[in-house]
Amino acid sequence: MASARAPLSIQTKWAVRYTAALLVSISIFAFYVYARIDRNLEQDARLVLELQAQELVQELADGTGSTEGLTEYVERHVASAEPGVMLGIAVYDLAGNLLVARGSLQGHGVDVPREVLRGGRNTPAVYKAELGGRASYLVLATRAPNGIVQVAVSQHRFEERARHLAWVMVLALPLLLLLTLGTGWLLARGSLRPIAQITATARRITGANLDERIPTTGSGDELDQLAATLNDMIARLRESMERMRQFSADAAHELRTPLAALRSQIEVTLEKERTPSEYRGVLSGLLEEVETLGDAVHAMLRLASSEAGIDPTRRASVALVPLLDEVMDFFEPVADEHEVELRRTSCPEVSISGDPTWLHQLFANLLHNAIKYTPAGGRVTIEAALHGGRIAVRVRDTGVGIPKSEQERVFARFHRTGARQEVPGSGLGLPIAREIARAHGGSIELESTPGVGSTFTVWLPLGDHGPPAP
Amino acid sequence: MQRHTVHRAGKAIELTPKEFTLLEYLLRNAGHVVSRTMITEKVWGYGFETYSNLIDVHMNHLRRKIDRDFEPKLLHTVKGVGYVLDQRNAPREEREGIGRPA
Repeated sequence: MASARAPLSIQTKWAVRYTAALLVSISIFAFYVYARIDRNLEQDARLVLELQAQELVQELADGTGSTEGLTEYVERHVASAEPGVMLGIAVYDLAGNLLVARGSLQGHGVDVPREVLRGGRNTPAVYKAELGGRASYLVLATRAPNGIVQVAVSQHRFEERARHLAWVMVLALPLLLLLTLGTGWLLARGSLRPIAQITATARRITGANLDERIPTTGSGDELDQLAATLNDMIARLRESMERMRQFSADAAHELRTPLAALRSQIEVTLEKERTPSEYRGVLSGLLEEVETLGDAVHAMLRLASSEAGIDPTRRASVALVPLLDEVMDFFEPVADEHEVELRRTSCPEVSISGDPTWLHQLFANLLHNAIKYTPAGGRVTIEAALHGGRIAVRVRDTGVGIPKSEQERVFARFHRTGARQEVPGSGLGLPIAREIARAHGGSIELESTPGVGSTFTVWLPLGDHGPPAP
Repeated sequence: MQRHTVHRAGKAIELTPKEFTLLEYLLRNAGHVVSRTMITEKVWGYGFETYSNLIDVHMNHLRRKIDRDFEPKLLHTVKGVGYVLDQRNAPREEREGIGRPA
């Protein structure tokens, strides 16, 4: 997966970021520790110096005052000190003349600070000095009642320790970072494994293979939720694919029978020579059937497009009353022929936001359906009433009615009610009406009593209400 | 409802607005055969294209008003093709194809 040209994987990115963050915090920590320890070491050195100086001051005060005795004392002291400390001791009289110098101070005089000489301060002065051009020393000078004491220790040993510590840190840091990088990489791989599974599953999914599901761990974490969400999406896709497949199958089935009839008519006609008038007669009959087929295909297209929702560029404000009048105009002669009375009660003057063509089709389908299933002498009534922000348009007929068990199925595609299979129609009128109502954010309800009649109620939102999110 | 009146042989005939539009369309295409689909689209507009098979009903209504009590017959069915409005009372077989509206 990780080719040289491929972008950095999330796994690598996470490991690198993790390591970088750690590098910063460890560096700060190491610097702090180093500074602290460095200071502590210097304080230790001062303490050693102060203790030595105190003893000397005491000796100077208690001693006999002879230079020999003092020299002997200082020599003993220097000899007994740890060799690594490189202790040096010098004693001056109050005027600043050297009385004795031993250890590291022997032969390498270090000036006594002026304030100490003058007695200007009581606290010891501590300073750094180079002795014989070698390592640096920490020097302490203090004034006793009868002389001046100077003590020096090498800083070498303390510096050595500090340097050692620094080296340990410098060497340990890359190792630590390497370890972190590796751990981070492994951790990231562990937590990203579900994503790899999702990717693999998604690759396998095709239109024909929507039964596949991404395995969920049940942990409920973010990736588990993602997997569940994707599974839901796949399920919805599967459902709509299934509907499309069903529709294609139904449509093909619906078209097959009339096409077979056309074919056999043509075959029979071609069996022998016919007169021009016979040909004309057959062709006219065929044309009529083809026109009916064309209407059915139109209806299928309308259904397919209404399921996809309203084209926003065709949305307009449609006045309800003229719309209903126009539809009634169209069906008036049809109702006449069926000897069905068609009438409309007064309707509120409202507008619906939607596709005018579709709204025409919606009411045309309901009206046509009502007229078709109403026996001669019956009546079809259109009423409309406001209910809150919605308008209810009722198409009420005194027709054959629909038994409860069939009421949901009348909205199924290519369904024709019970024994009335002989009633012509595409079997798509009501499904189209329902899809159009849905596309406008509305719905269709059906109430029906067999033998008494049916009422289809179209509920539509008023004004600029868009359809709900699909 | 608003009515439109036309006259034939001195007699007034009341038409509905749609019947009037339909007659107007046929007159504009007089002598040319128009198909049901063309009539649906031109006279009723969109939203009714799945109902071209109901055009015959409208034609029968119009024919009853403008032709039933008059001679010669003006509105002719070209079987399986559509309709034509013209004065010739010629046999259907002589007509050819579907006329194109101007």
